[in-house]
Parts: sequence; structure tokens; C-alpha cells
Amino acid sequence: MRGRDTIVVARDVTRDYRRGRTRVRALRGATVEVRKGDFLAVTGPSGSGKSTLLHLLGGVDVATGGDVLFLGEDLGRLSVEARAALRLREVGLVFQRFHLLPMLTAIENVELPLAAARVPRRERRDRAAAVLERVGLADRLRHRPSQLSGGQCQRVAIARALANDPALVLADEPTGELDRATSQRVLTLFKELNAAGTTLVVATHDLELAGGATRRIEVVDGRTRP
Amino acid sequence: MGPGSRLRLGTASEFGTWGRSASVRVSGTGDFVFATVRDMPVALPLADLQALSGLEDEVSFAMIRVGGGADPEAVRAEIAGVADRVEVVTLAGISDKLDERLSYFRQVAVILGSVSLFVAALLIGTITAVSVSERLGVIAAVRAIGVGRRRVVGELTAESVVLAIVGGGIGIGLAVVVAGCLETILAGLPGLPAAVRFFVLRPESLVTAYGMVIVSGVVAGLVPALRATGQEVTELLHREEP
Repeated sequence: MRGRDTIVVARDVTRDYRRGRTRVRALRGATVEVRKGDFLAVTGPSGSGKSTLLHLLGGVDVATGGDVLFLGEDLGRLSVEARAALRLREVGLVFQRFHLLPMLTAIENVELPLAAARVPRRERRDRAAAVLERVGLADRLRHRPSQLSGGQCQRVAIARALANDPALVLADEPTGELDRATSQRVLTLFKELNAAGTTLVVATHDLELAGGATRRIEVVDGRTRP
Repeated sequence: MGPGSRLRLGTASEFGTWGRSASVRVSGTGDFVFATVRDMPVALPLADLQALSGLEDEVSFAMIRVGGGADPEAVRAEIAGVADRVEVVTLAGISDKLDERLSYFRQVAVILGSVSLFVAALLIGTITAVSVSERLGVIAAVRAIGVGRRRVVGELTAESVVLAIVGGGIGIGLAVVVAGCLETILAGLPGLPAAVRFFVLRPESLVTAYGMVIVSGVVAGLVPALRATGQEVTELLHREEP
């Protein structure tokens, strides 16, 4: 199933969680392949397993059953530290609630993954400034999250996801906290990034955002539908 | 007043009227460590003192310097054996009695210090725990991005250590100032020898206290940091993301 340009492939993956004494099956055999240059939208109702699938694709979580191969590496066989190192290098994550560090400026937030990857100070500052310019925030480098609008915060979060030039960007409900006009600007930004070669997987309820993707799969009751 | 000055000494009756007096020349000055701040002690040759006081075989207080090699305690026991109306003490005995009296004070100080340290650790722990629980989402996101657990724990612990360093520094500074004020008040109490010190600042004690505050900061920061980062990243994200 894995082609030459495959970045990540999940085959018949399941994921079980324990909630007290109850076992909850979040995914029941999901299969998906993400190729280089894809802009894949993952849609589905709340609780269907979209976020879980995203976490498995990015190595944030490990499948209970099935395989997830990221650039040919079986994520299930990697240690916690090895998966963290892989995420730092190859995966950019965007969250619904941005999760920016409030005491840091926009550029310092974007520098965070670069610092964790031990990029030299001057280089990381230049790269963070460049990526913030790319998302249209060249004039907001020294602003803290509290001084930015929701849309600007999400663009800082997207810039942070792009900072290490990852092979894959995963966004979980990136427009969930934004108004319609701001959501459209985020969609436009995703399209521009994708056109420039960034591979994106976006879990969303937002039909307009999903409609802007080049490919779409639906997750229903823990199963994927093309 | 200094060496060469002249001084008139006299005895006074209990009704305040003057008795005998004599003019003396100051031959030197010295510290009388057992004198209180209100005393004005003067040392005289025994013959002059007897002439001035009119008392030739009475003393209320006498100090004896033992010869080289003699054991002060043995001398004390010997004198006490022959003079049953005299209370005989050695300087070491006085020092031990003072130490015994001051040991209560020290115990209170140790208890107060321990309580302060415990409260400081509790406060730092509470501040760090609240601050960590408020940032669970950010912690989860940072770990999801790929920042290692050790680094996140290190950063969170560093915050509490900085709190301990700053707070401990301010606390020790305040303690030094308050001890100075209390020393002034207590030294002014009547009947106390001027040489008595209640608060003696020892560098090693300050370093130990500061060290203990910093260690408290490390522990108080480490516990909530380890607890927060010990949870599954996805579990935290599920909780923090709507």
C-alpha cells in the first residue's frame, strides 16, 4: 500500500482507552494513507475518532492494533523518546486552542520547537521570523498571545508547526475557535502552504475548510470511509 | 575620658548622701563584659578600694585568675569547700548556665525556622501545582510537538527554584533586618551584660538556611511537574481540547 511518496500510512488501526473500568474503542479499523503534497481533510461527527486518528498518524499516540508507518518507520516499535524526537523533526501540530505559551512573544513561541531541536540561537531567530512572515505576521513578532486576535494566534500556532520544516502538518479543528471570516483566512493560508509543497492533514467539522482540501475521508464510529 | 584624665570617686549612702571620696587618675580603659549597659564599672587597686569604701575584709564579688596549668574547676571546688557562704563559679560554669538558658531560645528558633521552611515549601508547591494545572493544555501541546518530558520537567522545576531563590533571598534579608531590630530591643533590657548577643549571624547558618529553601523549591516544583508530565499526552489533550 505504501507508495514512493507516502509520508504516513495507517493500516486497520484500532485504539482502545480505559475510562475507569470501561474500555472505550475510539478507532475500530481505520485505514488511511497520506502522500507528499496531500491536503487531506478528516471529517466526521464529534467523538467519531478524528482526533485519535490524527494523534496516531503523528506519533502522539500509539495504536492498540494495526500498523502506522511514518516514513517507513513502524511507530508502534518506537520508544516514547524516539517518537518525541520524530515528532519534533517531521511533524507539525496545530491545535484548536492554539496552546501558545502566554509569557512568550510570537517569535519566541515559534522558536520553541527549534530550540528543542537545538538549532543555534541566531539561526532559529531568523527561521522563526521567516516562517512568521510566511503566515503574514511579520509585523507581530514581538507581540504576546494576549495582544493578538484569535486568528493571529492560530497563525502563530501554524508558524510554530512549520518551524522545523516538517514532512507533515496535522491540524485538529484549527478553525473551531475562530469566526467565519478568520476561518476563511486560515483556509486560504492552508491552501497557500499546500500549494508551496506542505503536506497537511486537517481534522474538522468545518465543511468549508474540508471543501478546500484536495482529498477527504470521513470517520464514522471509529472507521474510515473514503 | 581616657588615660591621664582625673576622676572623682565616692561612696553614697542609701539616702543618697555622699560618704568618702577620692580623686584618682585614669591609667587605662577596658571592657567589662559582664557589666550591664547602665553600669559604670571602675577597677581600682584593692587598697584604694578598701580605703574608699571603709570595708577592709568584705567583698561582694571577686575574680580570681588561676595560675598556668591549674584546673579552674578544681580550684572552684576547693574554694567552695572552705568558704560555704561564698558562691563559687568558673567562667566555663557561667557560660554553661547561659547556654542552658539560651538553649530554650534556640529550640524556639529551630521550631520557628522549621515551620517557616515547611510553609515556604507548601507555598512554593501550591503555586507550582496551581500554575502547572492551569497550563496542562500548553504542557500537553509542548510535549505533543516533541519537546521531551525531561526538558518540560526541568523548565517547570526551574520556575519553582527561581521562586525559592528570590523568595528565600528576600526572606533571609528580612530575617537579618528583623534580627538586628530585635537585638537592639533585647540588648536594652535592664540587667543584661552589654556583651550578651541574642542573634549571632553565622555565614554557615545563612548558607544552610538558603540551601534548604532552594532544596524545598526543587522538591516542591519537581512533584507537580512529574505528576503533570507523567500523564498521557493524548489524555491531557482530550481534557484540554473541547
